[in-house]
Amino acid sequence: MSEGKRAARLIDIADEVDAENIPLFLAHQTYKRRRLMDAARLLPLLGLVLMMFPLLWLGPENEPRTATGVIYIFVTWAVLTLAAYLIARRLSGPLPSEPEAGERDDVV
Amino acid sequence: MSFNLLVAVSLLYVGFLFLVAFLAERRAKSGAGRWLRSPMVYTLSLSIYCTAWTFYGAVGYAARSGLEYLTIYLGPTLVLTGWWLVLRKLVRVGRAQRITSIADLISSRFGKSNTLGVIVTLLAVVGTTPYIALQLQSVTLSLEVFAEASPRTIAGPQEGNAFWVAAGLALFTILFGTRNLDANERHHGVITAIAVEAVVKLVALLAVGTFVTWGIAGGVGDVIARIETSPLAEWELHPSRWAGLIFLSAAAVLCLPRMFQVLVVENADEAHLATASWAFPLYMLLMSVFVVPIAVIGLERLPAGSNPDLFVLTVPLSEGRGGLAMLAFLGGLSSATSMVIVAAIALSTMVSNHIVMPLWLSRQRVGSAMVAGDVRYVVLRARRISIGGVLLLGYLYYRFSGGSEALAAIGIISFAGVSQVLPALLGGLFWRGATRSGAIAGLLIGFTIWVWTLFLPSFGAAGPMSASLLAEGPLGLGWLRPEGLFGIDGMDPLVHSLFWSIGLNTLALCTVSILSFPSPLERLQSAQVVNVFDHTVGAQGWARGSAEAEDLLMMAQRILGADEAQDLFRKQAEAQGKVGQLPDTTPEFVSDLERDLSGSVGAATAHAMVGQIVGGSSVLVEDLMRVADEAQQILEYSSQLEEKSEELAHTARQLRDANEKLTALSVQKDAFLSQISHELRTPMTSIRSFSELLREGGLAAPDQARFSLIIHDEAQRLTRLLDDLLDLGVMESAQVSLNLGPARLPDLLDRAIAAAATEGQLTIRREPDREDYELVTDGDRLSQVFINLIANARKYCDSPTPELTITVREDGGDLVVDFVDNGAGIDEKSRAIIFEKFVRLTDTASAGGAGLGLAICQEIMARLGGDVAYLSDRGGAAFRVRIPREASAVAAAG
Repeated sequence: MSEGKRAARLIDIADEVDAENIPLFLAHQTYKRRRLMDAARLLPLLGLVLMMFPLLWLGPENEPRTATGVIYIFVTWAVLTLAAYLIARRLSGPLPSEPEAGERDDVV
Repeated sequence: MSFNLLVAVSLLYVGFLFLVAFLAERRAKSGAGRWLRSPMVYTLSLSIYCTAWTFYGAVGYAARSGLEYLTIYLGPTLVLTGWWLVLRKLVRVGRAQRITSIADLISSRFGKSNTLGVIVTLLAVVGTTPYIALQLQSVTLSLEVFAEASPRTIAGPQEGNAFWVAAGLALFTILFGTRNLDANERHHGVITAIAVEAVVKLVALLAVGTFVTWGIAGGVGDVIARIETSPLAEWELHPSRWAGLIFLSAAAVLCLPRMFQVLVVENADEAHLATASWAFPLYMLLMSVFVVPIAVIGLERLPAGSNPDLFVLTVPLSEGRGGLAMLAFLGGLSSATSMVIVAAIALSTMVSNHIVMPLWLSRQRVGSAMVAGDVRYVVLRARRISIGGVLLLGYLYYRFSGGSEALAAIGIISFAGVSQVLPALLGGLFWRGATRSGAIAGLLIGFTIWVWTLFLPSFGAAGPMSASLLAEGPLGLGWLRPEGLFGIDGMDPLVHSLFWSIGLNTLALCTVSILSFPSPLERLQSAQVVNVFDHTVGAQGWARGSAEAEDLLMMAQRILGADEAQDLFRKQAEAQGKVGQLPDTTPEFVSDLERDLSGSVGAATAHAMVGQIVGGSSVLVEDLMRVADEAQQILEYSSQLEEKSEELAHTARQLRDANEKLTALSVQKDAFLSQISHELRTPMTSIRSFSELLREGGLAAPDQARFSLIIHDEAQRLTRLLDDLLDLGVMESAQVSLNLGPARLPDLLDRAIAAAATEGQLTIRREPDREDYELVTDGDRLSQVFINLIANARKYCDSPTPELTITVREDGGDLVVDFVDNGAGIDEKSRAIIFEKFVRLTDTASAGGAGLGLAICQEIMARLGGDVAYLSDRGGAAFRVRIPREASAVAAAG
């Protein structure tokens, strides 16, 4: 528990944003936050698919090359890490204090 | 490169770590070390996942099996990037329930069951001990590398190295791992030292990798080219192992006791998890990016037969880079020590909370938790002994497992062992229906299969399993062969074991959970854990008032320490508005306290200790719920009974009324029959005797006239009586035809009064100006009713000056005519029967009627669509006649 006051973060209010019985139409910002959480949930699935992909390289004749494997895996690994960074930063960064000007409340 | 220099540097490094831990501990105590709790420190502490097995072993693994070593890091990468799904909930539950270890979590989730705590603890000890042995071996092996390389070796006894390493680690762990029984079980000193070690090992590996890539090879392109020409050029990809190992390492990162310790127990803020979700994969990426280059260069440069597990050291040494090799050695030392320290802390917490403390408690007398000895001291001592024990076990395992061959494979085998907790962990976290029996069944089955198919065979033919057993199964039962269960051969032994153990483990968990029924505490805890995001209220398990606040304070002081405990109680008292006093032992307070204590000694033990103090009158949740259930049942039953008994009483009352009525009627009927026979016989006798007198003749004229008159009168009486009876019979059989027509009420009343012959006997009071109503009715019948009522008043009014008041008013569409006399009225018990036939309340012959008057009135009024009723509380006898203004409808219907 960090000391003192701090700005609210999405991770702190996630449970409210994530509630199941929410209205059909949400404010733009809330909608965006829910999609961000969806992204956080989907990311490991994407990772799993990417990591299992080399299994499809096996053919009846050819054995995949180690060099190709090294490059493929480290590149996807780095991409996954970057995606995790972007999502995590928005989930745990301070929330904007006020809705942006011209924010519409009735966006689906 | 002197071996002695290496030893000196190592000792310096260890001294530095002690200092770091000490300073961090002090800063944390003074509240100044906020950076100690930064997300980066948290992420670096996760690096204990990368042990010496990965620091040295990854290169060896790559040299032997190509890219398969990556699976060990890809699994955790998936778990960390998927933190929102599992880890976040795990951390939240850990904080909400003050979880101290993975055994505590499983125990707590399944109804604070200590049986489960013990099972998970034993599983963790069995799974971790070989791993600790592996770390000791890596340190000894790496020391040997330097000893061999150094010409002027004054090396200590080789066998003793591992022992001294183990002893030193035990000392460090005891010093910084058991300094306090923090309510949150966080170890700032240890974590900070581990973060430093994490940096050291990363820097060391990156340095060696950089040297190999740019110092020996000519950059990235050259390395790729060298891979193409190396023995590793072909990627020997085994799909089952690739997928199985990714699954296994993902499971292990959740289930390893040391990972649970740093991920969940030492977590200070859920947002740190967000940082770790990308930073820890990045760390692992950096740790593994140079593994293949080092392996390729090592295979290329070093003589055939060199141990690839030590390439990280031997490649720099063979190139004459002593300083780099020393850095690599420190990296390896860091990897080994940090793993051992955290594992020892995690295991000792589990052993002391789930095995030692329950044993100690069970030896205490009931209610003695606050008097017998210093609990705090007992817990700490239990933990220190456990740490020593865990390291001793690791050392012994190392000594007696013999060759390094068996140890090298133990890392993955260890993973598979602790992964048996995964079904219970995930099931408990996401499925409300998972029960304690299910978890126990799953764990035992998974553990047994793991031991049988992987752990015991790992010792090789020289181990407890003979070659014939491996080949033919126990007692020749082929389908039980450790590496071909149910006759399915040819699978990779690890994948084979993993599939059957985790598969049947999960199946048992689900099946037994579905078939069994959880206890109330289990159901409460399951809701608390599974729905942790909805509500984080505590379990409220204690009865109010029975626990003495002083006793609780004394016990809390012994576990939390005097300052913390007093602070806790003071805050609680303030919250209750009782400054300067002890707080009331409300159920909320006791539950809070229990949760705080469970942060130190585990949920099951805390529950038991508070239970001892709250004592004989302690009310467990089970009891409360059972009592509530029973009370509810009793309540329902009694309200049903009440309803029934009311119904019965009602029926009985009705029966009694009916019976009374019947009895009265029967009496009246008897009386009436004798009356009517008397009534008939009297006139008949008179008529017969006087007519005989007349027939004999010889009577004087006046006598003749008098006798004829008597005969005439008596005949009339008979006629009247028979008329009445006839009337009633006709009325009752509804055969009467009404003769409806317009009539004026005053006329009808006048006629009735005249006919009732009240002259001189009864004064009639009327209000002529309010009687003037026109109505459509059968005037003759209605006036018959009036006549009867007036005649009744004449006959029965017992006042010395009888009066009858007739009032008329309109009520809705009806006319209401009241006949009230000034007599004594009709007593209450008789009112019910006055409208019955044959009823006469008095036997006095003066009545002169047959008791049919009111019955006839009632029949007539019913035919006319109105009614006649007796009014109580009007002074005398009072009858109300209700007449519809328009009787036609009813008449037509009749």
